[in-house]
Amino acid sequence: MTEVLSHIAPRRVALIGNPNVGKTTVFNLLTGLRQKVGNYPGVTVEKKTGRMAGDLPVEIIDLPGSYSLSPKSMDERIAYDVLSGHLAGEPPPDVVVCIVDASNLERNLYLVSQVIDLGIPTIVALNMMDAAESAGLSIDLAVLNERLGVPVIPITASRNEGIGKLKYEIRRTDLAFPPERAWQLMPAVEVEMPALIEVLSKEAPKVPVRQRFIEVLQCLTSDSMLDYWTTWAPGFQREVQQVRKKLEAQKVPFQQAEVIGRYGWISPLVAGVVSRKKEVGSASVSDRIDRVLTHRIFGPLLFALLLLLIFQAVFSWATPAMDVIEEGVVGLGALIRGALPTNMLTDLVVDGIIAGVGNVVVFLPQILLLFFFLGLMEDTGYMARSAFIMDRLMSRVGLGGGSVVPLLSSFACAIPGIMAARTLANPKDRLITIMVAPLMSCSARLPVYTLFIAAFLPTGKVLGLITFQGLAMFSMYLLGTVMAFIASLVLKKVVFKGESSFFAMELPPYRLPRFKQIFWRMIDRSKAFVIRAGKIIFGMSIILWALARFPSTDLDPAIVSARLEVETTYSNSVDRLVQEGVDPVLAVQQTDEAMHSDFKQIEALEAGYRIEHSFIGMLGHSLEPVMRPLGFDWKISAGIVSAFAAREVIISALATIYSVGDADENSPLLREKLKADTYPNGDPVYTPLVAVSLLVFFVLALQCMSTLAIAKRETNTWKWPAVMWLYMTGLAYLFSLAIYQGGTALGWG
Amino acid sequence: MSPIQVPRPLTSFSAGVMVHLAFFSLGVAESQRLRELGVREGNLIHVLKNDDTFVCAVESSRIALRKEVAMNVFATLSAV
Ligand SMILES: Nc1nc2c(ncn2[C@@H]2O[C@H](COP(=O)(O)OP(=O)(O)OP(=O)(O)O)[C@@H](O)[C@H]2O)c(=O)[nH]1
Repeated sequence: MTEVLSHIAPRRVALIGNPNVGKTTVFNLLTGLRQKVGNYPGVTVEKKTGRMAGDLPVEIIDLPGSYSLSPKSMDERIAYDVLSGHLAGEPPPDVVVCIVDASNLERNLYLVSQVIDLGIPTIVALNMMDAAESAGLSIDLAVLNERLGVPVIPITASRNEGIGKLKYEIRRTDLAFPPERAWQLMPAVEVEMPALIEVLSKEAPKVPVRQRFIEVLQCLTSDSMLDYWTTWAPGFQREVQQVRKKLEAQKVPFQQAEVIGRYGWISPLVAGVVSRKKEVGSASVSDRIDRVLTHRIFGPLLFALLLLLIFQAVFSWATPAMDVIEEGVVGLGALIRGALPTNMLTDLVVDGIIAGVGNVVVFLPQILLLFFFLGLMEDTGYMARSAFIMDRLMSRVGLGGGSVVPLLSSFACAIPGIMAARTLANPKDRLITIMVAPLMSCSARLPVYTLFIAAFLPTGKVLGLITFQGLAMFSMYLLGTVMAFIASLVLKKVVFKGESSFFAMELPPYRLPRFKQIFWRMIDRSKAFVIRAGKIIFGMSIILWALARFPSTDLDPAIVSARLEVETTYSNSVDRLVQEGVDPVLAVQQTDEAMHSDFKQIEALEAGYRIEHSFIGMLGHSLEPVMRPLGFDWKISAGIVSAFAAREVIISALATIYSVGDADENSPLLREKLKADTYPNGDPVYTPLVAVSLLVFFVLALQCMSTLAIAKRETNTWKWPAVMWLYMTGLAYLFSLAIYQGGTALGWG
Repeated sequence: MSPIQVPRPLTSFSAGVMVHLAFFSLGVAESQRLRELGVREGNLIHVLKNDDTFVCAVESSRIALRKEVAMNVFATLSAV
């Protein structure tokens, strides 16, 4: 064969195959380290491309693992869209390489036959030749090659065998187009095809001639494929609908026509090329491992242990790193504040920009750790088992077993939890999981719980065993979890009704984890978080900063004169010391120390005044009428607004409003201030009932811009985050209202 | 072995036996998914686990089915 090396534009080669056929291994062998990971526009399906070394530029596109081209999941939809050129800005590939598991030929050839029908030059890479051999299968390659009509290259990717030949074949510029369709649909459907193809070719002449048949077939069987043509070929769409109605009236099982037709061709083909030397049915290593890991008792037990470990890691191992990041942000802010003049620009840099970046980066330790564990579970094949073990339990609340890990991770933080929902193949399950994940009490709510429980709930014990406060803390977590389950049931019944929860999945063989791959996937996903969600979080941080900072008002005269007084006392004291013969430098130092707390107090007063007159303070005041029925005054309302940056911010916001200065949830001063605060008529602002109302509000409300940002990124629309915010805030409002009003009516106020 | 067997739900076979799949009484999309996974009318499958969950082997792959799904897949005991 002669190779023509005159091609300039890179040859685009797509890799496709069933899940777990070794596609990633082949991709790595073909591209080495020249890889790029991105996302397909509009969806969160990962797009992996790479360059193949050699004279001829070849771009390899790794498509998501798919069982067929009739799309069921987002992943499969993308695979079809790329191959058929439906994706804007993504021309169809020049060559398709189908990776096929030689030990499971029949099922794998189904996808191959669909790809061949697209009419793009196709190469079949027959992988796992070693596994087929040890399973006692022998495959007549020459006959397979002849019957399929496309090149068949036997390879064993894990041992790098046959890859050279595959590369050679990929580079060939004289690759033939695949033969015409060799199988038939059932006659009742087959007769309808020519007319439909005719309509399509008139209305959408751009569809390549060879591709028309499969486009029509897809539309006959899939609504989402039919929808695609609404704008491009409305006449064709109507025609297809009519044919569907006609076939339905004739009781023709047209949806099965493709499966029956293709297998009618594949089954005898496989029977003719595969011969079995060994009896089937012997238990593999994976089967033996599964006897323990999916055992009805040990299975869930071991899974619980693993979850405990993951939970522990995300919850506590990440804390030191998060503390370092938080301290770093504060330290850097102080450093910069010291170096720059005191003005608005400095405030913007320190409190807006640096704090905003900090708000993004602080999530990284948890995200990295969680994705490391998820990667480990996926790579070893355990992820599929965990979904399978938990399925029975989760199906009762309308979810599948795969939602367990994302939901539990949300106890640490909803951000990694929502990202982990990517591992769910079913888009409906994924969406419901994303929608309810923020109800799980995340670690940012913990400080809020701590402050209000410690300040307002009694310290006694229940039955002399558990403290009231501990019980209250537990109830918060329980409430969130129960609400998440109820919400998912409701979503399943109301929003996604009619969708039966179907569960059938392949359990891939167990394998040793490849840490390099896990590491890179972890980095890629974290990068995606920083770049996409980070932008939104950063922007919102700046907005919240501005709301707290503006409008700049003149301070209350009383505060101004108080500061003047302190400053006068200060300079008098320095002067006096100097007169007494103390070294001036030392005099300043001594006075600084002596009057440190006076200055702190003044600063706290000023900050409190400023926040009250800022937009946040105004918002708090204007929200008060709405929030009063829940027992919240303007200060709590302002705190709730500022907590949007991150829930725990309510504590520093309240500290500022109460002029306590820097305080955390364990600050006794803040606790006392809260307890002492009264309305003008002398009623206390905070009662245990208000505290409970506020606690419940925090359990249920979506007070977190980062969660909204990640939900936007993962669902690619603002619609779902908006729904999420509305339903959670609505729930929070109703619950708090019921608690406060009910409690008041019962005289507990 | 009787010459004619009435197909029974998959959940009625004990682990270890080989069965011939006869038909599904499931929705279109669900049946389609099963067929794509290789769980297909006429195929020979090996029941690996049938207690609180159901797992079968089709060629070299292992497919897990929710109980409710397995109950709606009908099969006959294979002679081999
Ligand atoms: N025995 C054998 N194992 C192989 C061969 N090629 C790949 N594997 C193994 O099969 C497993 C799956 O390989 P991957 O490359 O991750 O497969 P994939 O199709 O990308 O799978 P997903 O990414 O999970 O969809 C890995 O453990 C590989 O080491 C082969 O030719 N023979």
